Amino acid sequence: MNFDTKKTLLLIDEEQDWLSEQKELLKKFGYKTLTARNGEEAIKIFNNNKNIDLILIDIDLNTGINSTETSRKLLTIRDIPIIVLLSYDDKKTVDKIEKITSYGYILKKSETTILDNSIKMVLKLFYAHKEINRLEKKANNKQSTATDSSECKEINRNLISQKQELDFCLKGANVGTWAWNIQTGEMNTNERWASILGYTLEEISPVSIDTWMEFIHPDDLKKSEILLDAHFNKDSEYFERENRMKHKKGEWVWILDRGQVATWTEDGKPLLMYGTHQDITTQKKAEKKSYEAYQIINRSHIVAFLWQNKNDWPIEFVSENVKTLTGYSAADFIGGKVSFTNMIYKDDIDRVKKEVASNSSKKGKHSIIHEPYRITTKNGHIKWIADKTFIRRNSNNNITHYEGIVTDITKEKNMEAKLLQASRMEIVGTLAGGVSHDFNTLLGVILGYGEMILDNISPESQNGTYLLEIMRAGNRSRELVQHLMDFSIPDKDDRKPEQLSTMIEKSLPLLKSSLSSKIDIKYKSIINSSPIYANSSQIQQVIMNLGMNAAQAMKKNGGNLNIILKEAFINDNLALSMNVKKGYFLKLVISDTGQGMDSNTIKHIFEPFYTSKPRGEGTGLGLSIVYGIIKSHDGFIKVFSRKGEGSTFNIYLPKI
Amino acid sequence: MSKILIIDDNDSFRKMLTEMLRRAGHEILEAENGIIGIDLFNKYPVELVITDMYMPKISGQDVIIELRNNYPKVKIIAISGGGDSGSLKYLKNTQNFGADKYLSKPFTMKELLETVSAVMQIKISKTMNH
Repeated sequence: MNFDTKKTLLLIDEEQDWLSEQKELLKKFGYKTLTARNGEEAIKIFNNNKNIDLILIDIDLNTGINSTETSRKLLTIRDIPIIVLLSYDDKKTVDKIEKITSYGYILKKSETTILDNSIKMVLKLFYAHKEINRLEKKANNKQSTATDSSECKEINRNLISQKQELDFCLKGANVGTWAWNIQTGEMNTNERWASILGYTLEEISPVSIDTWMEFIHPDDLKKSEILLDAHFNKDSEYFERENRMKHKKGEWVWILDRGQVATWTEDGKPLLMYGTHQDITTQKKAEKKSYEAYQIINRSHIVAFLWQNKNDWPIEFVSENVKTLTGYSAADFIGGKVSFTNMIYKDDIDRVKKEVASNSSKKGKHSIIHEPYRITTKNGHIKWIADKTFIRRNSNNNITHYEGIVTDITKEKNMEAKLLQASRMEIVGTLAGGVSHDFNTLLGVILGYGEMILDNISPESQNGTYLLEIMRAGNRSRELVQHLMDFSIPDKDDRKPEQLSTMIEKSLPLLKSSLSSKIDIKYKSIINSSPIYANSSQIQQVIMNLGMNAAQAMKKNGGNLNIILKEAFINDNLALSMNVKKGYFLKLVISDTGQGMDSNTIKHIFEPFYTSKPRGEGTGLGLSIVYGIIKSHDGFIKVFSRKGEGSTFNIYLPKI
Repeated sequence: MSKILIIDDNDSFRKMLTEMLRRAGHEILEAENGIIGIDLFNKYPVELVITDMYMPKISGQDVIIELRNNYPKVKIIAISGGGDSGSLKYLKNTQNFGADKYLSKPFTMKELLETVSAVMQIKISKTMNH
């Protein structure tokens, strides 16, 4: 076995970028690398190159024949060591490897030094196996045909040298070895077995199964015993467990303990068992760290994604909490059952794609901060998403993956919309106040001169009738401005403690008399007392305006107008978003079974001069006045409606 | 008939008021802002001042306070059209700092003349209820 000669590798992977990158890296370590993009190509190359020493194959070959089939075909051409390349070493994937190779796997993200080390070890093992096979064959032949002692000696010598080489290999791999006579309890271990635990072999000799039992963590001992029994009963092919063992310094060391019974007694009892100890403490610690980080992510509202830079952006990893966000499980995404791209709201998808494309094309760019966009969840809800995406590039600066940090910001977005609405109302109010002074002054001029002309001419004359029309229009304008002022600065005077129920009862007869008989009004109070500080005529105006508004919505087919009075506790959150003080509120519910409103209409209904009624039917101020009055009473309004399903206005007023 | 000073920054409105009151037989002085109005009053102290509240330079409120401090007997009517100073609450409050009556713009000629004659009948504005 000579490692001075340059070894030739065949690297099989679908990613051209990765292939070229690895080829370069392996060159630095003295390898000659041939590459193939798929199984068929690999077989062709392998057939034509007798000097290939080892094959590295990606487990995920999606075009043409898969990795298992490729390996099978390669091995029919000639015996060759094969190492499988994995992106992730989850149990399911690792189990699959045994079908492909007996030389194990390596993670694609591993450093080249580790890859180089694995290649060397596998080659050594492969040559050792070959040599053992050759010698065994030879020995068998000799046993039956000849008794040449010098030949036997050579076989022995070779076997000894093979054992030394294997020992050397195991030492290089930092592996402790053990041999156990199950019937006597005697054990043989190498130096490394002891040094993993911080001792020299001499310090712990003589070693027996009791030594092992002394060092192993009691919990792990129990579990190991169960597994060993299973193996002794031939229920499992080999024994394997990750155990904790006590280090000389007192801390626990994680050991990957593997073994297999090699010989059995005549009556079927296990006799000799061989195995290895591998120190996996560092790996375990890293695993624990990433497990903790993963748990923290899953408990948070931040969803982490990793997807490939390929068509449809296939997802390689997503945290479990994606289910809370989208209603779909992580497995649904990773298995390709659902696509995050398809969940993006239709009006936003083009923009999101553009943001990805424009940022990806900039060479030095490493992240994308998306403008918030919407997704549709499994239940059909629309959620707002904040998305920061990191761009992962290889050494050729080509993008291989994207990492997304995705957060649900629906609440914040709704809050923002509410604040926007509130500030818009405030601006309208301020404007109305400012404009009304000039407006009233000018109306004063028009009406004033009109009155003076009217003193000079007969109101029955033609000019007189014209003038009266001017004056009428002027007076209507005056009322309009007055309404606008009521909206912007409702008078806070004349507030006194009153029962809201009394105000409702006073409004009802008036409301009934002004509504059509097709509308059925019902009023119910489920509280005994409803005291508030209020200007009762303003509150009655609110009830009248909302009642008339409901009637308008039921004009065509009639319906029910329900008024309910109850109590509600407003907590910190709602109080904050509604800009009121937390505490007990009276809740006046006014609902109708009319035509309802779409969400766009709901957004604007309280704005002055916004009206859905035909021209001439409303001033567009009725609901603005309601808003102004309720706000000046330190209350708030919530509206629920859907097109065709009626509307509900919930009025909240602080209870005293 | 009375001598009246009208203070309002809106020319059209001021002229219209002048016209209305002249027709009713009153003698009118005009000022387009509070500073000119107070100067004019110092030179020609009239019996009644009608002042707008929402004006540039100095507000109607300052005009009323200034006049009332120096001339306890002068009659004052506050007028306003809107904004904060146009609210009923504010106009009512003008009486607390010296106005005798207030009118909310726009008002009718009848309302104006009635208010003027009512104010002129108040003998000692400081002590009588109105």
